Amino acid sequence: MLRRSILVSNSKGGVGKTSLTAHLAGLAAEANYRVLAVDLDPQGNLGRDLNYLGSDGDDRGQGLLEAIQFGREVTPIRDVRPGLDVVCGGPFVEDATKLETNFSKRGRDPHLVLEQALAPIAGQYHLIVIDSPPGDRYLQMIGLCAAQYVIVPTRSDEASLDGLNGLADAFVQARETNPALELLGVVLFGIGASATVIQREVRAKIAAGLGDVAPVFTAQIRYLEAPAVEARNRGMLVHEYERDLVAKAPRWIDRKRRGKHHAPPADLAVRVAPTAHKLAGDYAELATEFLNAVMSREQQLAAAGGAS
Amino acid sequence: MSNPSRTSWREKFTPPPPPDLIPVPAVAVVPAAVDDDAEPGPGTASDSIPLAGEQPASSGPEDTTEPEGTARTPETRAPRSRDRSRAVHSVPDGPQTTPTTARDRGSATALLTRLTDAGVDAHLVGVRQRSRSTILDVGLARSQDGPAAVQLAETLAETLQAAEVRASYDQDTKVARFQVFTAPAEADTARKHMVYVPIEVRDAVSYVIDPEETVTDFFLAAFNEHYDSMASFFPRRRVAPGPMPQTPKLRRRRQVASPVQMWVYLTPQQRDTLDDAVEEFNAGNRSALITRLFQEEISSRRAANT
Repeated sequence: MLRRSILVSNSKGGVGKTSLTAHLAGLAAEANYRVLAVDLDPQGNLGRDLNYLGSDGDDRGQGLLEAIQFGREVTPIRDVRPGLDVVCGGPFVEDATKLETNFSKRGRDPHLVLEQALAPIAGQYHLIVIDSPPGDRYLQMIGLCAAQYVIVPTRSDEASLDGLNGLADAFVQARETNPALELLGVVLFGIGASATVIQREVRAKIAAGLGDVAPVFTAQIRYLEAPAVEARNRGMLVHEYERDLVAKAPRWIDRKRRGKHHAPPADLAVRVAPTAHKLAGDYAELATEFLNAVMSREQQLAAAGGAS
Repeated sequence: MSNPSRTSWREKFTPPPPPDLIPVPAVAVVPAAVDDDAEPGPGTASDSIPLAGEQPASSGPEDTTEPEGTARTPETRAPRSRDRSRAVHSVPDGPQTTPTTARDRGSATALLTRLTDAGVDAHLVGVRQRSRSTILDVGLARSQDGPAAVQLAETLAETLQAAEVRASYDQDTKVARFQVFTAPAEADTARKHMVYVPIEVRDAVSYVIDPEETVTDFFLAAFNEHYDSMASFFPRRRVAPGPMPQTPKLRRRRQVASPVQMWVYLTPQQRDTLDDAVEEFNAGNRSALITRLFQEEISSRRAANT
């Protein structure tokens, strides 16, 4: 198990795993943490969020595959943001699933290959955030066996909650190899801000499904499509988008007034999503809660270790 | 112009300060199904891919040069040994009693052979890696053999393909130390060369390659073992009337997979040898020759394993 490593996982796709990974990693880096983001997803969408897709360092997962396959030290892309390094995902990562039986034949635990690939560089980071793919059971399993904590994003629909239950099965299996694995919490993702009844119901379902083993984070990411899409299209995280574009943009009334009789000047021609500060605030709250949870859990474990 | 009235996300962002970094090793590795004490043999623990903390022969894809000590020339490389019993897990620091890289193994074997030929009863007691050299400590059965072993160093450089070999002898411990300096950079620097092979070949390589072997090692082994039969790989055809050569469009229609990128690290000398072979055997390009060599090597390894 890699200490202070967090797997963001849910067996269902489209529940916000990659967005959450990118934002938790990006915000932790903003707070001067040294962070490593690992993209285990063959779709490699983390590169879109963090804007390294197609860059020189983007090997589409080949480096990660070879690190897993040959036990080599993985080489991350350095400083995609200050303090944030990334191990790229992409189509090559999918090939790792074909090697599962090969590892077993060679007497190597196929579930520990990711941990072994990341271990040599793990000491350079305060935090490792791993984005897991939705469908691939093996990739999900090597993520679970490498991580110390799991975060599960979920939407309010039944399919997402089923995905959460699917993950619970894998979690139990992974605990046999990685007994230190813990469920840090569930994140409600893409939920209407005013849908309080739905929120209550979802929390109740999660509690009924998982009991008290998985606290639901108080902070949640509300459904705000415009800033999420705009930021991703620009290769920015939402808080960066808000800070660099929206906060500096004129208010709508200024925009309207100045554009009334003349073509809007260049600085006003940029279309910005005015609700970005709300979404950025959600991510900021969640990142704060998440980092506090990790650190307080670490202190508990240290105290327990010291006591024993 | 700007909009200060909004609540900034920064006000909601009050994370705890970063903790101390976790000193390496950062993992508490759950024991794998690997028994390091077991007698090594084909398909057992010693075959496993190096574990965390072990240093592989080649570094990551960003490196453009291969670490010194792995550069070889196709035509001078010794035939690949299938004896896997010498494969061991490396230890990051401190002396080891067994060489961990192919080059070190070769150096140690050559050194011990030369000492035996000179009538010196010797055995390897330690191996240390330095940035530009490898130190091989050899225990001698008889203390009077010390000076002879040291004298031998002058002639060892060529045998070990090294720039220089220095030797010293410690009378008390009866250990002769040989420091093998690898050849200086320029001529022997291995550079990354991209090749394109069908995805099936790449996958098959990944299945048959030894855990401690790099793709470059695999290529060099294939080159050495199949050099003699290379002439039959690409028979020269007479130009004759017939259908047009197939275009990529036709290839797509036949659903032939497009090639994927792999890379090998070759010294200029190795690259020249490869290019000569491409020309001599009418391969057309490096990728075609390497693909064919990989196919041959895959077949022969599969045959050897069954």
